[in-house]
Amino acid sequence: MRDVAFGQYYPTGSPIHRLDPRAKLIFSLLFMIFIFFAKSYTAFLYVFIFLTIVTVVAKIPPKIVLKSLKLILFLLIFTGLINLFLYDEGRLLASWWIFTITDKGIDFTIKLALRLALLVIGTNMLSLTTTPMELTDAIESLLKPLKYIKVPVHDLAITMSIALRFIPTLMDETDKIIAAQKARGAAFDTGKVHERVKSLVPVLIPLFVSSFRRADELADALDARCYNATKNRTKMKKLKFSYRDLIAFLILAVLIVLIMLDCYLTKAPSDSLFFGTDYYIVNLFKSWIG
Amino acid sequence: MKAIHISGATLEYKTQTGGIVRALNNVSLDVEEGEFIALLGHNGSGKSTLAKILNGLLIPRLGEIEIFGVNTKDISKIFEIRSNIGMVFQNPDNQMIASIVEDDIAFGPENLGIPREEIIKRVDWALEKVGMSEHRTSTPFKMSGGQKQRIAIAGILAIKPRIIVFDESTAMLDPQGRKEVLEVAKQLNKEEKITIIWITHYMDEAVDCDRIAIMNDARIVAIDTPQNIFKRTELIESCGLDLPLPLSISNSLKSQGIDLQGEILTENALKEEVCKILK
Repeated sequence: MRDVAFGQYYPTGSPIHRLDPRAKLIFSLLFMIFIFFAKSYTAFLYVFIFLTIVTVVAKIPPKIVLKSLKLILFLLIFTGLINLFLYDEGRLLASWWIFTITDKGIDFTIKLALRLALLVIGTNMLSLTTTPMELTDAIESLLKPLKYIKVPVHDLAITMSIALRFIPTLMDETDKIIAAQKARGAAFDTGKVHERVKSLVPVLIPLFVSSFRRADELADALDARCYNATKNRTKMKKLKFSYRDLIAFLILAVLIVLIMLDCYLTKAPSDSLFFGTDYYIVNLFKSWIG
Repeated sequence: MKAIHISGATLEYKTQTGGIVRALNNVSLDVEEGEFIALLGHNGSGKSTLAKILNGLLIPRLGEIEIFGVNTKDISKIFEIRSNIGMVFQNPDNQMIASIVEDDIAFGPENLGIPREEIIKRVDWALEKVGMSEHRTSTPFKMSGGQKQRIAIAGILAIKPRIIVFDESTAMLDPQGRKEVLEVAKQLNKEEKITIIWITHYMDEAVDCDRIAIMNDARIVAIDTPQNIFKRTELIESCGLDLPLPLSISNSLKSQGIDLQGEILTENALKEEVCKILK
């Protein structure tokens, strides 16, 4: 079992790993928003080049990056097929019963798949280069303004970090309880589905009981270490924006500008199959072959 | 000024069935600064309750507790008390709040509002004191019980307490871990002059402390030096405690008419005495 506390984190100590986690969080949000403005293949190429640069700088093997696609492979194929067969605008290429395949349908399907894949790879970069603890700190810091409307930001952050801290402990405990119940003859991997679900009850009850006991002891330990959520608290690790974050932002800004230029400044006729810069490229290509 | 002054502390718990259990019955105790005191007693004798009234986790119904002259009933000074008296509990897993060692150790001083540079110094110092410096940025999850407990001690050290209470801190550890943790406690007592209250039911951990207090049925029934306490074999046994093994062996040998000298509390002393006779 890989260390759960670190999640998907892939440590390489690269400049991207060392970016301020708040910056990375904001960059990921911007990326998620602006990828929906990418509407031509040229724009997708820009995004692809951007992600390649990020992967290389972060020193993460492409295999690890592509692993995140495995989880959404089913989603990709399913939505792809539905779009391919049910999209009915454009020139008809083939049809059977209610299923039709059109040129625009093919175009739309490919773009949707590309968008989803690039979106998942891009956002996954955040969890590959940032530990859950850093993310917790980042969220606490970004939500700070909410303190003024009496949202207990610090309490939420410490609850989150304690939850992260106890995931491996509780997983360990679950394994022990399962082993103990197996030793008494409980069967977890045979029988019908509802029997298997039922057999989990004697695991969950002791797990809950012990969690409450742990919570009690933890509360005492927090008190004994002078826990208080007042303003006077200090922090050992201060998040600091640096020149690196600025450089990273500028690179992201270039991508965003390119996407927006492609989306709004190019004028392809609305009846054309191609959009944005793609239209010019295709025309150039056509005139070139004659 | 006394490090700890308890006079007439009395506290009852309500049980689930509505009954009342007296956990502390008119307990009085004075501890000088720099002392190493072992508090012995079987399960349910009131040891842990005594620990919890020391830093205001529980307030006794009757009686007064003063830590360096500050009464625990004074809510406004509760953080002053808790930064003076640290507490290490039984289960190391249940007293860690962060997934990374240095973050966990920094938690105490962060709560006290210590400036950032000073926190970093304290974390370095605390880790060095417990011999865990090389684990600063790792996660405690895969460590042995003894290592985890040493990190818990470092977390307490970082608030720079003058007293540390170990509430059965070795009960869940293997023999190696028990030894490590006891070593650290003794070292802190000697080098940093930190007053130690060592709560346990293992007799052998108490042999070379300054004083031993024995609890039974919510009372302190005896408090004296180890030499004097271990002479009172009947009292120890009536309190449901076992004598340290070397002592019980030497007592058996004596009762068989073998002439051993003095109170033998450690394995080494036993070895020497037996060798003398065999010569």
